[in-house]
Amino acid sequence: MRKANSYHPEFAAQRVCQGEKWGHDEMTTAASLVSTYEVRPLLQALAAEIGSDKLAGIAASVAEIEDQREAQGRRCYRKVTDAQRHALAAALLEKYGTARNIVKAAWGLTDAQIDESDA
Amino acid sequence: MSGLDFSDLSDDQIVELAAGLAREALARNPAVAAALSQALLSEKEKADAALAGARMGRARQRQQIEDIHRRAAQEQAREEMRQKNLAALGVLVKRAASIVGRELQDVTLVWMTDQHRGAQLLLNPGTNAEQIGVAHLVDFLPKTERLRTSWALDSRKPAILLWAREAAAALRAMGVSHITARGIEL
Repeated sequence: MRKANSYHPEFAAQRVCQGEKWGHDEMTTAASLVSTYEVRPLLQALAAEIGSDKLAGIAASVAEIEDQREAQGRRCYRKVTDAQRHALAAALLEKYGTARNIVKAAWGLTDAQIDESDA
Repeated sequence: MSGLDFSDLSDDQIVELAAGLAREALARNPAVAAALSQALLSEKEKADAALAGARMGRARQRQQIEDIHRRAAQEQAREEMRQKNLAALGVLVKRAASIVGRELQDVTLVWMTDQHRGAQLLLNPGTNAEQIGVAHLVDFLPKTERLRTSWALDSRKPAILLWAREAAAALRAMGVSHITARGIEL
């Protein structure tokens, strides 16, 4: 099975650049990145770090929903809800501060790479 | 003929001139005489109105200055009240900062009263005193005893709840509806 909702590094970087360029709220950008494949390990590590079962549970159900969407495609009725996104994004932003830092940690990019992705 | 300048004449000359005009007007026509007396009266009325207007203007100015002084005194009294309340809140904010594990300068306490939800106690990071769109460290609603904290403080919820209850009680005893206590100014 393909990695569910996996973003190319340049795509994630471009999202961050666009958000910064047009002054979007950090929460919006983070919320859209939170259900991606590359951010899953970050969330698991964060849940272990703060010792929160609730965060681990939310991250697990989001991962499960994305896997199901990948498997079923258009037939899948489930979707990641805004409340889930908001909760996970709030947790990640608390640790990393900005969406840019989340992308750097999850996709292993540098500031220069992120900046030059949005030509 | 409205641009005539009579400032060179002496007072007696002006009276003589007026008398002469009246004689001439009476000699010509009763209508002209009536018009002359009407003009004199209306001039007098105009002068009286101008004086009254000036008096009212001065009275209004005085009233405005009084208003400014009164408002300034009110604002000063309110500021003093606020300073007193802040001094009382200092202890609470310091304890909150230690429980949450941040510096005193890095927290802000916000107490607000909502018509529907009642009072609300918020602890914000930094010097942020906003109520929405901010990741609150602590969000306590005394009416329903509902406590929300940021994810990192999840494990310290019991201690935070104790503090929040005490702080809400103290603030309600203080009797203010809205107050903001920034750590940097305590």
